[in-house]
Amino acid sequence: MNHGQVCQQISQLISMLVKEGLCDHQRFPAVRTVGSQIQVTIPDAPDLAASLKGRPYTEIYEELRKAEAYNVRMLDGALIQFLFTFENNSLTSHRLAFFPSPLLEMYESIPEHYDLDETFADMVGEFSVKFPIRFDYSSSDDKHKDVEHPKSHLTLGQYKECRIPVNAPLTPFRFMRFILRNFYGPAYFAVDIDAKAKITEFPDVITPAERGILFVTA
Amino acid sequence: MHPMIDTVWGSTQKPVSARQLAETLSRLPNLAGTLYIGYPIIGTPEGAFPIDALLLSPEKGAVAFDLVEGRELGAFEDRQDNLFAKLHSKLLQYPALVQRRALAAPISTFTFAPALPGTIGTDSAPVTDATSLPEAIADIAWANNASFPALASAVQSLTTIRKGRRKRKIESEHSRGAKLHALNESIATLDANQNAAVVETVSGVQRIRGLAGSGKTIVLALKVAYLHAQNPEWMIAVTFNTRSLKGQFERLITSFVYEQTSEEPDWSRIHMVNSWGSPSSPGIYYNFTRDHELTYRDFRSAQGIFGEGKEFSGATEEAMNQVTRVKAIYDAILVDEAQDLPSSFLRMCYLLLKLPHRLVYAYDELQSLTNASLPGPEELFGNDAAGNPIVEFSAPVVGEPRQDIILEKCYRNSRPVLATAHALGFGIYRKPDGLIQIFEQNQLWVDVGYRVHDGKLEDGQFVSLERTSETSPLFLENHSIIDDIIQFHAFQNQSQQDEWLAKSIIQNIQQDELLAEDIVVINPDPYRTRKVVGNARNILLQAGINSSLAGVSTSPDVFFEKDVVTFTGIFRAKGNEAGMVYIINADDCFDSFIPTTRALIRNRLFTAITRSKAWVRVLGIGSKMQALREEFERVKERQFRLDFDYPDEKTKKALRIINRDLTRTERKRLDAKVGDLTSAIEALENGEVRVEDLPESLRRRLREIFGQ
Repeated sequence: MNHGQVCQQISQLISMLVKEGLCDHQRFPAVRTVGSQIQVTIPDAPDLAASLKGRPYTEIYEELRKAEAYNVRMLDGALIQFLFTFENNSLTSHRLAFFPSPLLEMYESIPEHYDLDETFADMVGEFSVKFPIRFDYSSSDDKHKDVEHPKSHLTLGQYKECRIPVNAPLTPFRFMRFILRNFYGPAYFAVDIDAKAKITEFPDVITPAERGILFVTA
Repeated sequence: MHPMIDTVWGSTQKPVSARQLAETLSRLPNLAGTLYIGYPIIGTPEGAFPIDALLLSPEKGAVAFDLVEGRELGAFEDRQDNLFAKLHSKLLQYPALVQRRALAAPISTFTFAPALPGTIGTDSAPVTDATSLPEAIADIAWANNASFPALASAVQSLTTIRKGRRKRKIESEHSRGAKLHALNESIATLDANQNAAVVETVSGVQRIRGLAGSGKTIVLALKVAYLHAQNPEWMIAVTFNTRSLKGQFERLITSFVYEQTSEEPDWSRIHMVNSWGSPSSPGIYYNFTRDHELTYRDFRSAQGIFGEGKEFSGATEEAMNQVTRVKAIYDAILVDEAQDLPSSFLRMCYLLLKLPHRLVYAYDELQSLTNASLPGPEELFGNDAAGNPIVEFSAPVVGEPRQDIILEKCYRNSRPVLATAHALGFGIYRKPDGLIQIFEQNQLWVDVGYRVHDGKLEDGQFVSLERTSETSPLFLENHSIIDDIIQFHAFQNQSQQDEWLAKSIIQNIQQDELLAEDIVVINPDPYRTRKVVGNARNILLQAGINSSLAGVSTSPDVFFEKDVVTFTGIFRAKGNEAGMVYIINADDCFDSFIPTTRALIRNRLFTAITRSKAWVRVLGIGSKMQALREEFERVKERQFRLDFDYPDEKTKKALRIINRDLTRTERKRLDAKVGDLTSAIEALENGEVRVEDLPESLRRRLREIFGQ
């Protein structure tokens, strides 16, 4: 897949989510050229990743939301980011992130309240624990350390050393399939994303040693 | 009758001398004007400077009073000098009040010390009492008083309420953008009645009623600011049910407090909180349970226990039943949008207040979307142990602050828009069955700004009601022709409606110079909004116009996000306004299967239409929309007058029964029962069931029911 196809997939996804009423606010991806790199990014959004390192999750979430540093704000407040970088028509890195709202109940647990737009639905007494989920990829052989730092990996929450190997980089569709399937159960079947996700994929980058431990398939 | 002065009773630390001042001045023949007690407050580099009392009179100019409550005269000369200097420098800021370099209105100052009779003071700083004041006032003469209106408006509108929105680029002076800009500029100051509503402070419960767009929210916000500036030590809470109002409140309070005191508000003294609240965001109810160690229910658990539609009343009542001794923590609580909150919530606020229970609640009779308008204060707050009402409104007394304030002028909706909203909300021109609901008290029509054009406003009589240019200012409708201000469109199907909507919005943004945030799209049925707006939003997205769907995920501080068209369900539209309002699927509001739901859906339509500051487009599908459009055509044919036979007591009673308070669950059950009956009657009609099949006893009962 090249940057144009990735960009198109993200736009398609956004349209799909808007149509189904799953998305409250959205920003189409922007393509930016930096030197020999082509980035698929969020328009005018500052890259807050570095400055937010080590901050409490509620603050991180709030900063991202205020800066509109997301492609999609879901109906339950979760923010979704798609960032891809290409060089010479091939993928060099991606960061795909899911930031659930720390203060709102997940859609999955009270879909009818979200669908009905209850006035006081946001008055929630006890929270489930929320944490960010990230899929990072870097093609760089320098950064890659077998098993310790897989080229494509999944990070749960704010654990610094959490890098669960992933067999390949993720396409936007495959990332979104993961999100919808696991966190938006009631809507997953309505959007029929499974079939669309199967069509495109990136080639494997996982090493035999990484296959030897618990890993994830894109 | 000789002219008399009006007294606007603000908050004062000097009640005895203030009352004597008001009585003394009100007895003066030929003195006209307004006496403000505890107002204005002037912001100075040293902080707030409250003026004890100020008389504004066309014959006397501005007369400022330094009140002496007891027998301690103190440094009255310094105080009067200071009083003069502060007022003078404030008024000099108004170009309309300045000629060359001098103030075009006279300022006089007096010390009024009723407990020190016979004290004279000095020539430049006179001291007066109840006997000497009339003479001193008589000596003031203002011959050339052409600038009195400017003086009055400078004192009454010590703040501008212009919206802090984005600057717009206007290229065509006739574009919608230009018109909207001009409208926003015109609505920038308070009128005298709104100003009085801000200032008048009751030692007890005060109710502020008014139509959508009459400025209730602004009045409440400014009231908070006024009370805070006047009594910085008070703990004040302001609460509301729509989250999106919070940002608006904060902005208004900040700018007003700043103007009055030259300082930022002390937010540790002003609690701006949700009515419900949760562990992550404070709220009146949540804090009540926390402070008294009671069970807290969140929305979900309240629904499970008390049932749909009873969540908040159940939760608040439970907490009040559990509590043994309430810790009163507030000096004043102000409640906005009270029509959407249960009366038990207002009782909870009352309990949280220290004596004398300064509770101010604002509401709109017709905006109630939950079908339960508030009862009167006597019923609302219940009886004490001796069986006497805890709160009772006394008849208005001259020289006392009003407990019941009605804001009858509407500054948001133009006359055609407001009259249409009322006509459709009440079903004035509905055919064939007529009225859906009506004000129980006929007088309320006059209170909300209508005047009898023809006929009589009496039960069983024909009446023709119209809005006046006084209560619906003409500048609101003069910017465009009526056919552009309000339009109804009926479409064959959903996709036609969506296409038209999208095309029209694109035109607004690309050619009419409207900003995306000037536009709001409202879907009246709250339960389907998410699903039905997806398609239109997507068409706009493809055209490069971004949108947001107002929902739980929307930040509590904003309703209108930058550069987006806001789509919203009816609940979240409340309290907000926009230049261009589109209402989609309005056919949902035409009629309901069972009569009891009718007022509810018509109220939604009323609320949606009254969000519009300039233009409104009502869109819908099919024959119901066609019928709704025809109903609108009848309003237009009657020049936006409401012509109808006022219901008599019998009809009113029938409407009361139909519109009785039902929960969503009860309504569903009723719906099902009426459905059963319908199919039974159909079966009788088509011969599937013969009358002879019915048991004799059942036939007898049917005869008894329908025979009457």
